[in-house]
Amino acid sequence: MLFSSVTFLFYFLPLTLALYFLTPMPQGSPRWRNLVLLTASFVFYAWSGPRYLLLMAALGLAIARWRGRWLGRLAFALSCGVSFGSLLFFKYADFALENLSRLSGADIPLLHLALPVGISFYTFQITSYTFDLHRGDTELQRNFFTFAAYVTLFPQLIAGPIVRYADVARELRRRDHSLDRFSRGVRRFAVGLGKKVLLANTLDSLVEALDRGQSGAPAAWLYLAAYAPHIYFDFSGYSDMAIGMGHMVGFRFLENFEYPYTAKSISEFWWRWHISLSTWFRDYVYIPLGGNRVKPLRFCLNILIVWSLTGFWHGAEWTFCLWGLYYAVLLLAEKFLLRRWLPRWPKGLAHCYALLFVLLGWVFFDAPSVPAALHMFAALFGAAGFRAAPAVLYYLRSYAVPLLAAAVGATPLPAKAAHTLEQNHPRLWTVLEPLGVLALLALCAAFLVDGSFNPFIYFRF
Amino acid sequence: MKVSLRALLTALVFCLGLGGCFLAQVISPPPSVLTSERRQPADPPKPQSIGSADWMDRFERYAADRFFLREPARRLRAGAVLGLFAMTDKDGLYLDPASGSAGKFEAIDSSSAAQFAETIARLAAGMPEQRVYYAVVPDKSWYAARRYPGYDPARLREILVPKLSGLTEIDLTGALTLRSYYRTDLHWDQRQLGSVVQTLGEAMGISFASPEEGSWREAGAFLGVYPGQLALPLPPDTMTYWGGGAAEDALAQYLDPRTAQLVPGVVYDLEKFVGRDPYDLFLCGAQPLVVLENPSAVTERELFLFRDSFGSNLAPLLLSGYRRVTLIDLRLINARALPEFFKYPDGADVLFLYSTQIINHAGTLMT
Repeated sequence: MLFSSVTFLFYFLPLTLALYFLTPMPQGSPRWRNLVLLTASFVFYAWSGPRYLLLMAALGLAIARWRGRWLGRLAFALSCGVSFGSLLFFKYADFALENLSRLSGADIPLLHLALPVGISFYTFQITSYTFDLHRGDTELQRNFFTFAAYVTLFPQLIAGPIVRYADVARELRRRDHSLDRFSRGVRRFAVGLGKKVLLANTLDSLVEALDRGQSGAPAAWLYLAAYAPHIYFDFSGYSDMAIGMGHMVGFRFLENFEYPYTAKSISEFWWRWHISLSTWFRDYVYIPLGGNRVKPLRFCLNILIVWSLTGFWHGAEWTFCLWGLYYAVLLLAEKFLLRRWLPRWPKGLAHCYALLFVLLGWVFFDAPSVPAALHMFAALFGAAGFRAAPAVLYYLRSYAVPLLAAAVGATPLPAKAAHTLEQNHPRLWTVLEPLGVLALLALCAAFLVDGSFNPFIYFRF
Repeated sequence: MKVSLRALLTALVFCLGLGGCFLAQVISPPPSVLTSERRQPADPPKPQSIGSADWMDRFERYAADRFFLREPARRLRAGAVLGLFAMTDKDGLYLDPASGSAGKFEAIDSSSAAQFAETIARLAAGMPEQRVYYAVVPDKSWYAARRYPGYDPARLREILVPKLSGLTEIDLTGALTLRSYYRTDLHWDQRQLGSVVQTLGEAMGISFASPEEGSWREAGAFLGVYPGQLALPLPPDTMTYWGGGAAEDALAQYLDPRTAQLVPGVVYDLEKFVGRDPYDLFLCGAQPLVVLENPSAVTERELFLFRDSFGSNLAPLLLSGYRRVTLIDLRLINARALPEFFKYPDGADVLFLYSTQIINHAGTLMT
């Protein structure tokens, strides 16, 4: 089930919220409400593929069963083995077999396993708990249902943000529900829904139109100019909705995006893009490897390992690996070559530098194969000519306003304007905020009812 | 604790909005037909198939189709896309600002066009003693003031001509203008087809009678498919039909699929004009096989017109040049079944007349 669907908005969400808030909290404990969330999460998850419901339960049971022996190395290894083993098996088995076939010349049959929805995200959530327990950074959760509610929490189950157990441990035991918090959640949810339905889906239709046989450098650059905001609004819209729903039911999930396209360097971009993933890799891979407190060569190796894994996390394709390595090279270049110069560059130039390389990076990310990526690079730099076909000019004209809205929406300007209005004209804001939420919901409903089905890009990860 | 009015209003708007929609979705009866879209709403998926992979997709389509404010929602989206976003089309549907004509552009599917050409060439190979022609009905977007992407006659010719070298091409591009088509529909207007008839006549060596001015009859206001698809309130066209000359005397026969027999009918069915698709006025809409006889013909020539819906209002105008015009819609009858109903006389004319919609969906032709 998608957040941006009629089914979710007008059936699942109102029913779940009604059940949730009608469930009592004896002595302020939310354990019954956790059970509602757990049940709702299983329904939400089952909708996408009930055959993996058992796998989820088995994973949760396995972790819960071994929870008393977390400090033992064997239990820790087993726990990681189960979690990462599932991820490796479902996500990378065919990739490994395919490459083994190529190398050996043998015709090894592929398994063609369907990827369980959200496996990359919940594996990282479960293992963060395992790692933190092993290191003594968090406490043991003895209630299986509470633990299961954390693992399956539907707002962020299938596309993040990756919520660590330590960040929500207190709220799983006791959390506050207030009208103010609920309304903040509503506002965030409506903004996220608008980002996804109004901007990401609209830009997706431009991406699709340009993907159908348009050639030449202008078409390739317009494609990238549409793809970059498309993926940003798609993913950050989902995160906003997840964070918003978290607020509604009393959780505070960490931010996942901080206007990444305003970055002035590649390092800064990664502080702002998919924050929950990059901090996960930082805390559970990079720092255990020694981080930057090692010799330069080892540091380079650490960076290469972390970014190869980051790339591969996104998908079992060489293009994702190249995408990760591309960022490793850029980050190393910033660390060793540009460290002195980059801070002195004018802001505009630094923005252009970061944006250009991020845009080029999306070529690897989006391409179905390495040759396709190379073909796209060639097109960007004029291999198919520099003439703008009439169709490209048509699409540029037709999508000018959505592209402009996306460009402005990717900066903090709209949020700053809203904040200024709220601070300086609180009475006006009292009316504007609910009206804005109503307008966004009505527009999104209209787009969903009349539009086509549009899955989230990050669902495939 | 002090409750903020803003928070209260925001929460109320959200809860009442979503809760109200939920109740309305559950309580309101589903529509039996989506009138403006001219289609049936999606059926709900069966509860027993809840485990199937497409259950969710089917429920989503059902929920969207039965949305209790579907029409206002569609109008709101049209307004947002074409107004707020200032886009020049909505899902390929456009309203040309200069002419007020609505349409839908669709890129030519090269592989489908090639398949179409191969299908026609294969059929034409079985007609060695006949004069075989083909013509493409250009997409109306080609004539709009704004250059919409998609249809390109030159690109299409590059695909068709090499594969149809044994047939005579009749180029209709120059015989049409945007005014030749209804503003609100994809079809051409029978009253504006004078140049098309003349072009066909010149290519096929026939002098068709020019419809006399007084014999045009008005069926009424006609709202085509596009206002419903666009969800925009467009002023209707006026539908007229030629009721004089050969069309007046013509005898029409239609294939009854139940008995596989030709049964008599009318050229213009005014009852269909008030039905779901008023364009069905012409030759009763979608029909696998129609035979039009011209009792006052001074020739024995016959025309076999392989056609889509564009042929329906053109055929009465061609009748003056033939004793008999047989219309075949290969989407509704397999070409292999045709010998049961007729043989091609030596020297007969055969015209393959198809619009770009069919060329892009060549798989629908049954051969």
